[in-house]
Amino acid sequence: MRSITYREAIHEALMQEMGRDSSIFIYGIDVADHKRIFGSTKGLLEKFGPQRCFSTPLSEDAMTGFGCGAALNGLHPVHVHMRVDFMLLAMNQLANMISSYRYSTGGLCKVPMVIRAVIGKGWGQSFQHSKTMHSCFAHIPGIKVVMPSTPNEAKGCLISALRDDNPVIVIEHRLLYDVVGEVPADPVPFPLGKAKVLKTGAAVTVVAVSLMNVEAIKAAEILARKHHVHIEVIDPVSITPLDEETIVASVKKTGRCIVADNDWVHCGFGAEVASRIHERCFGALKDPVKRLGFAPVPCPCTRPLEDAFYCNAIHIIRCVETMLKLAPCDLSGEEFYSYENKFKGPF
Amino acid sequence: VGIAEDFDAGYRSRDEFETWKKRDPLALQRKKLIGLGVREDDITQLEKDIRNQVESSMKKAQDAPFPDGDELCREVV
Repeated sequence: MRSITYREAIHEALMQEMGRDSSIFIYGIDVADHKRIFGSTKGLLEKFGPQRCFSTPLSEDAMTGFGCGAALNGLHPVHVHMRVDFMLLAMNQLANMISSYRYSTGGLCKVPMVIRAVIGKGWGQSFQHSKTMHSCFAHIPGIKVVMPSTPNEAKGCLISALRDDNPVIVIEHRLLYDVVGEVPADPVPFPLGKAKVLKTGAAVTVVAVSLMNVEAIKAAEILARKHHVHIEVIDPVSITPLDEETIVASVKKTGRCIVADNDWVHCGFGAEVASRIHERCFGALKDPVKRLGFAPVPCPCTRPLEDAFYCNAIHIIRCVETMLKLAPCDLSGEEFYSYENKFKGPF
Repeated sequence: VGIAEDFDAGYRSRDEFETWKKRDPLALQRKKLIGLGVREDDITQLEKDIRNQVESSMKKAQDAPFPDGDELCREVV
């Protein structure tokens, strides 16, 4: 199978789905400008015209309401935010309108709408360009929330979202845009609500969110080499609906679980996963479920503090060592932050 | 990050930029203050002082060491 980047996978899903279904249109800040959302909306304006691909002013709340109206009237809008942080300006539309129309009308009205939003990291993104907020969105009934970490799921999830008659938030990570992976050329949907086991192992289950899967895979490689310990890495892919069965089956096998989130820990996704594991795997647990995530502060701007703010492969390695009562291995020769250091912008 | 004088990228035309530049609020405010009787020399001096402050602050920041990791949790609440 051919390999393409995460960016190309998103682009291909949009091209194919907009070609299949003329009710789909895409809009948002800078969607149709010369940079085309880091290249992910390239060529859509030329192929589908300005009625189906256009840029909008800085007015997130109004533009989300506009999408809601379009969806209620039979279209399938895709609203794009270059940073998740600014979706917070549209929380009224999301939490009070879009999420609830289907339920409040007994299913007479549906809001088939896709909202794509990108997480920033590094390059001084700081506290207004680095949020993920998936636990806030996933808290609201009536919205699906997915966070693909590989090109294959990025394409498949977007296709599924564009064939779903519910509002779906697709949260992408900017540092994943250049990741290369095998993706079928045909439009193959990835089911919303299905987790993916990225690596199998019997020692500890690591449930990793978005970019944290890159860190978890790195940790798995070092742990196997240094300690001959094999961890199981599970990418939930979908936060809502959550594939609880895949996580539960893994934890019943390993008896141990770490949730590596790309978010603050307090009141976060890790707490939800930990609670479900305690409900379903209590007798099988050899250790309490451990949560990793951002430091409990706003994201700092300068790189040394940012490195202290984010959870990474080192934290996962040390956490596994503590759980398994292993002596900390020497990490001095290892290379970390490869995605951050490789990134050449622009943001 | 953000738009610059990259007019060839097609984001905005030079004409549009020039039109809005004529309405630059800083230039308009300067004109307004002079009209109200503020001495032009005083405005020029003020502009110079501000520029110096910005430049010295930039230099101070660039010459300063990076913060220690233990500063991470300062002044959250």
